[in-house]
Amino acid sequence: MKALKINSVNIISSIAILLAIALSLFLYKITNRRNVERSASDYSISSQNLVKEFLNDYEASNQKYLADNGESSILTITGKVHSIAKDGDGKTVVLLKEKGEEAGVSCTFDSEPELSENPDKLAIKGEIHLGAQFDKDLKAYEDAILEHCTLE
Amino acid sequence: MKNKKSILALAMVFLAGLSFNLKQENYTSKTTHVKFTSVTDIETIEANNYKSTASINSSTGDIVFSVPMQSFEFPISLMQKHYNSKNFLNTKKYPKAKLVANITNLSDVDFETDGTYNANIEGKMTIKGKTNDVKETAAIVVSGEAISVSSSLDLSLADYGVTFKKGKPSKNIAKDVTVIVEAKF
Repeated sequence: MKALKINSVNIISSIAILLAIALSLFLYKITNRRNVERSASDYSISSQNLVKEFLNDYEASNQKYLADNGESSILTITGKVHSIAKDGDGKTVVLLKEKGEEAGVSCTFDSEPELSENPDKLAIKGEIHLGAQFDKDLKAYEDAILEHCTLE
Repeated sequence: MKNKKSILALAMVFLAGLSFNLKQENYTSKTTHVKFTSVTDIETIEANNYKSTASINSSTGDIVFSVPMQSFEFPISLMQKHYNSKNFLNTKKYPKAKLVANITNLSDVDFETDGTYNANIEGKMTIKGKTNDVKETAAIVVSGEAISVSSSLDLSLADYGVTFKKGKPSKNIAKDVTVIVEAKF
């Protein structure tokens, strides 16, 4: 009888622990966004080719790279460093853009990247949020946008 | 000698005029901030976006904000997923929102003189493929070479095809939301 009681207590305790773990995982999942740095890239592509894909067919490229829930494709982009600046949130933005190209890929880092003094070419991983396009109202080409970037 | 002086004076007047005409009229900025706020009795939801591109033309008064919709950051991941989904903003199909407006009292704004100016702006806001008229005021601050523009717009989500008939969103998300746009040129 005593053994049965101990077993019941153990089973209930185990279930409670499992439920607590499941609840913690569920709460973690709904409150935290995915970790782009730890996730594998869906595509590796040069900045030039990514821009070309969007300029050739914007709709098809949106279908290919963007996700319904906003967790769009994780890309590793290689390209020439055109400029390094800060955005309105104080985050570092590296623009990968080849000379003579109409648009590039703007890569925003959540934490300060360790860049050499004058980086020439870089490989950067990030989540794509917008493709390159000519905007008739801005009368200018818009760069593709990658966020949550890290150096590869 | 007198002729040479006259020619030199004329050349200087011409160059001065030329430099005046060459003064920048169209400004573009990527130092921007767009903030969305929804307030209900249950909760206040805010999302921030620092990836928009803005332009202002000091001679025509044209103002444009191009807003990448997937760049809005919400405090909770689940909120962000709902916001992007087909039933809400459908950001995969409509990845950009756009404000295209014009300053209707342009003569009241002096882009050459430091100061804070109240501009009346009228134009169109496009979200989720739906375009509506907007009429608001904007503050334009001129300080040396720097120009900043900010405005607050009250939008009805239903005007842009975003409606929640039942469930948690219908209680937690306000029918009318405030969108603040800011750009530093």
